[in-house]
Amino acid sequence: MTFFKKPRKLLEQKNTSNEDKIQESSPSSQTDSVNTSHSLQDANSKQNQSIDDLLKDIEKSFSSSEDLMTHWIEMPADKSRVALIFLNSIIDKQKLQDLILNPLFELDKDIDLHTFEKVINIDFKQQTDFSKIQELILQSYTLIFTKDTTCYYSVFTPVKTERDIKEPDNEAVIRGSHEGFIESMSTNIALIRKRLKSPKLVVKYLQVGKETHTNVAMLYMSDIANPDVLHEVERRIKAIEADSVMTPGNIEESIEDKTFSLFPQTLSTERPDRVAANLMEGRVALLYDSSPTVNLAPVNFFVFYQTPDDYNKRWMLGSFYRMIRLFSFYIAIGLPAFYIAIVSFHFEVIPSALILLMKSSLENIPYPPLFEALVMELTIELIREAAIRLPTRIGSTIAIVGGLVIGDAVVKAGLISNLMIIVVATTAIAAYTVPSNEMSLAVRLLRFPFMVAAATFGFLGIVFGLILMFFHLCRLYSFGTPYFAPLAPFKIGDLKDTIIRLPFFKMNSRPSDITPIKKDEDNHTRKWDKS
Amino acid sequence: MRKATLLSLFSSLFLLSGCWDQTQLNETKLVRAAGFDYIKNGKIKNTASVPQSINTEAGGVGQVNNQVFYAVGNTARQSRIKLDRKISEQVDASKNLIVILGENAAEHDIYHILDVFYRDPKSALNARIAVAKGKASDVISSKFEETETTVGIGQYLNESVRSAEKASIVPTENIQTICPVMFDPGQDFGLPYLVPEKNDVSVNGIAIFHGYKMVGKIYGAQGVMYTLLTGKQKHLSMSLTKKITDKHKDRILNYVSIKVKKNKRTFNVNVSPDDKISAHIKLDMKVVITEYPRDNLTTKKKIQNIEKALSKRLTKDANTILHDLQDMNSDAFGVGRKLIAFHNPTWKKLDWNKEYPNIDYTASVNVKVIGHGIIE
Amino acid sequence: MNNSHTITHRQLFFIIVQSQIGVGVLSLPYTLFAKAKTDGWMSLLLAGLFIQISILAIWKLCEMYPKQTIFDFMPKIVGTKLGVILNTLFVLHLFSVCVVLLILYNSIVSKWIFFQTPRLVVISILAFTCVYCITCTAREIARFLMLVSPLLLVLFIFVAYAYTDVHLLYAFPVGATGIKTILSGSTDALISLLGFDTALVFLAYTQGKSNSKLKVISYASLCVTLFYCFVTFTTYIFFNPVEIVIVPEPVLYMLKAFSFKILERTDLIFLSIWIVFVTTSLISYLFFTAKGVQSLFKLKHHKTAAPYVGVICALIASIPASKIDVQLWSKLIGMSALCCSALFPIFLLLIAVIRKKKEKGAVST
Repeated sequence: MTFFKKPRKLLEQKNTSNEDKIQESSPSSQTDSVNTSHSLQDANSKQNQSIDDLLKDIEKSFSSSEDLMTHWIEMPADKSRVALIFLNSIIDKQKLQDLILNPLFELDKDIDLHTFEKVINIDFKQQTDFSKIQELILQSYTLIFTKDTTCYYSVFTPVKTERDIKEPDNEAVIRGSHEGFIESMSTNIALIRKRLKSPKLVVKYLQVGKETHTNVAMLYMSDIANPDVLHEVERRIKAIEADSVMTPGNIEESIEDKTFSLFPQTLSTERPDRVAANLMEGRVALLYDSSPTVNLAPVNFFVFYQTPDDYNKRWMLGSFYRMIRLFSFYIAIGLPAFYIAIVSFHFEVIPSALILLMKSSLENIPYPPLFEALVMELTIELIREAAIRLPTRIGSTIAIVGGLVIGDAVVKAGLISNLMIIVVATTAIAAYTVPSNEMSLAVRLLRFPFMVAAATFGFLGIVFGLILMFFHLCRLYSFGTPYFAPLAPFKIGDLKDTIIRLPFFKMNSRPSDITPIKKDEDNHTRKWDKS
Repeated sequence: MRKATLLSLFSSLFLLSGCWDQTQLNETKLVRAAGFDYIKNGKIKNTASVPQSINTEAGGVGQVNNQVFYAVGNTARQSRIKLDRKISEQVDASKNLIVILGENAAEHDIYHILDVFYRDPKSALNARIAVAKGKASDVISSKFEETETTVGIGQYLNESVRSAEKASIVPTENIQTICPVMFDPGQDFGLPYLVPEKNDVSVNGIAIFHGYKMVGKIYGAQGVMYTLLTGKQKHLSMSLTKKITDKHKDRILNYVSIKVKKNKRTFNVNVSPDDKISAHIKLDMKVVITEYPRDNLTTKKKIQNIEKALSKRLTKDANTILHDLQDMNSDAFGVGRKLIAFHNPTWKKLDWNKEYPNIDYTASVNVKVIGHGIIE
Repeated sequence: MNNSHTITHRQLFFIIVQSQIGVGVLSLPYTLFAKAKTDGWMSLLLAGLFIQISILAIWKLCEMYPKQTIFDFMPKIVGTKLGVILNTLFVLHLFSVCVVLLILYNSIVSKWIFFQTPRLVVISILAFTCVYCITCTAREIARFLMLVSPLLLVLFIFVAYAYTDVHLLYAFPVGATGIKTILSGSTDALISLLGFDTALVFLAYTQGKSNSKLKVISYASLCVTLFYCFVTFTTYIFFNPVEIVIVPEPVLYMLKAFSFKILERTDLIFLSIWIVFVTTSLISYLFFTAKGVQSLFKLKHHKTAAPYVGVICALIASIPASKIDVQLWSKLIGMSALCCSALFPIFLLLIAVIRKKKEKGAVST
């Protein structure tokens, strides 16, 4: 306790600090008082208790957790005793010292806490609601109790446990901002605010999880986002009833329209620029406590294929690569299936010049093509999974060993045909071109049913598979907006930023599938060219 | 929940179902060239070339081992089934490249043989079809030099016919394209005529058909004229070398070589009030001179002289072909078709097989030189 | 009617097109040729004209009873008791149409690609797919049908490729068979043009002005007629008149001979795309049927009826085994479908009009 400088003698140490679970701080203030269910039983009766009883009650309600600390200090003005109570593990003691103790003792001797609040500190507030004691302590507040038990004071003293702002690993871009979200919600909001300096950007805090008290921030543009959508998102989040909501995934699963679908219905991203751009289209962003992931909703299928890179390229290049990415969707789900269908059902369609080449490569393979494909696809997935778990340096080794050595050996051993290696490798690469990780996973899983369908019914199986998949996409909704939007329902105007990317000045209206209340985008950037 | 049950039920259907119609590519033997001959007792001999690539260490197509199999049966299908018994894996003709008919088979009804191709949903209808001098089994044979360097016998024969098509020596046909013409009472067709020689197979002319039967041949360079008369617009190298005078002692100087750049056909069929049928084919050709050793094509007159001589010569050639066709009773250019379409009442009255050899059938060729290479 | 179930005019157009183009397209030229010879394409055009009358009747009925399907307004026109009977009959007719679609699909698929696969399996994969597709609202169906419509262009291009090797002279002499045969051929053509009757249920969901609805349906049916005409005419100038008699699926047969550098056997690709159109027709008919069953049994949602309808159709469709059976079934059901889909709306309209007039008369006196 070396950092308590001057008034050390006045502090009474009750416990040595136990640094256990560090809880994340939050800017959440008085506005949202979600129930603190098993808090101090009869909150109002406490006002009449003596300060000692009150402290004992608080201690009891925290099950005498050893990191709950109480300090007694003596006010310089009237020598009255004042109690400071806080969770040792989640407050910044330096801050406590700087914000309360030092000013308190350096100031005029006559000052009492009540005037202190008015004079000095914005973080210093008088509280009268005793039911919120527990919640405030859990959110890194230090509470100050005086003789006067009708009110108490709170100071926000969170411990800083943030990492630096870095570029997200799985959403890297070549040109453009290299900032990414971190585990602090306030920093994340700051990153978005930095990009959207508009009073219309609204932040709304919600809390989920009866025990975890996870904070969720809902961000939207008040003049663009449709109130119906906002209401729907809020309604669904508020409807979550669970003891613990640990990861964004929990919330995602709780609020999406169809959980029994492979396709992600909210867009997860760690890029502030992506969030800002989507907010401007009228979407809602959900930020979570201690999570760098931000979810965007409502989304459509094509949002998963956009990347900030597209907008930093010349528009024709942007369109070209967008189309490549969409084409990769078909390759990733269909190529192995198509290959299987051809070699085991319809080899008539192979052109004459190629048939002997294909036949000779397949000639001595002992397994049917479906088995071949399954083995190789699963091997690729194994390599991928292993590469994620291993440290980066070993990861690349695994990729080389897996990719090159296994691939080569398997062909040499005559287990798998070299054509199958080509097909599987192309498919794997195609699946990785999707800018969104969730969609990439969905696509990777989708190809297995297609392979089985192709092995049983040839082209017919693939066609029926595609019909089922596209119909599923047609009947899927994301927060009440059609998921496969500008294609089904078809809106030719909205194709400008889905399959292709038109120049910036052509994007004069927002996509209509998310029903923004302000359609016009006012991108008249080339007015100088008009005369 | 119910949806989940339904889905799982359906997916189990996928797994339960065997793979009824699978034909694995690596478990089949591909026939790349098929030949048919009639043998003495009226049975059909089927020849099939099955190339088997010898797998090399590096993969890909290494050398090709040409296997040729024979089988005899009462019908084409029966002989195919017998063939299947002789070959280790299942025989599949869906990637067939070319069908060769022996001369005696072609002179019988060819539809009887081809029926198996038309009926089978898996057969290759885009395979070329040709007639071989003598027996088909002489042509489908691995003794030719080039079968080793190209990928198998089928590929070799196919490429030979294709290059002949490009040179317009033979008309471009496949199994499907001859089918409507074969059925047509008002039109006949021609097929490439292959002659096996010592080290190679040469495409030596056109086998002329009437109805379902082969009735004659047109040899060599006349094939180009035949193709021109069918009205084919233009092709990569539609070349002719013609003698236009006898004046020069030096033989080579009597000739001129031309390349047809554009060929326009006007085909008129007239019926006179007393039901006399006359047909006239007029060709307007635009040609480029590719060889003319005498040179000096400087004046307009000289060029006109050549044009005149060429027109005369080509008209003579064309008429010879028409007469030959009439003699063979093969209506290869479809005079009858024109009659059906535009003079239907007349057509219904007459017996075309008897009438055709006697109609007034003429041709005229008009040549215009539009270029002469880079020297004059 | 819930606001979120409505469909737009554009969607209605594609629903009608997709319901009309179905199994028929492959064998239509053959069936037409059997009667009207090379003038079959003219029979088709005539049939297209006749259809406009039925379309007019359907539209008028739906205009008189807006936002109601045929099952809702039938009792209002003919009285409750007779209405129930007629509704039942109409549902039976719809069942039979679904069955015949499945039968024809199976007969073609088993002839061209699945030689050994059991009938029931081939039929049930289609039936299952369709059942999944109809367990949603009309709007989602409309979206899907519109989504797959660009495939029509692919079909068109494939067929148009045949023009590299056609004999235009085969189409001549034009009109040689005489008007009578052309007329009699048009009944066969009518059967293959069926599908516009799905408007009886989809019109109830369509928003917008009544007149433009009629325009949309008429245009849709016109487009289909022209497309069919194009296909038929192409096959007539590709095949010799003598040959076409022995080729039951001329379109596929025609494509079988084409090959490109990167793909051969275009018929297999064509067949795969054609499956999509069979599926879309079956989707709209099954939806129609499920709606009928819903109103007959007073179900809350047609979703409940969908699986039963699908299973029953699949089971019945797998009964006919031989080619003769298939022909018999398709002929019988084709004729009954012609009566129910094309003629019945006209009669119904007549009754409705007379009834309305009587009521008016009663009110005025």
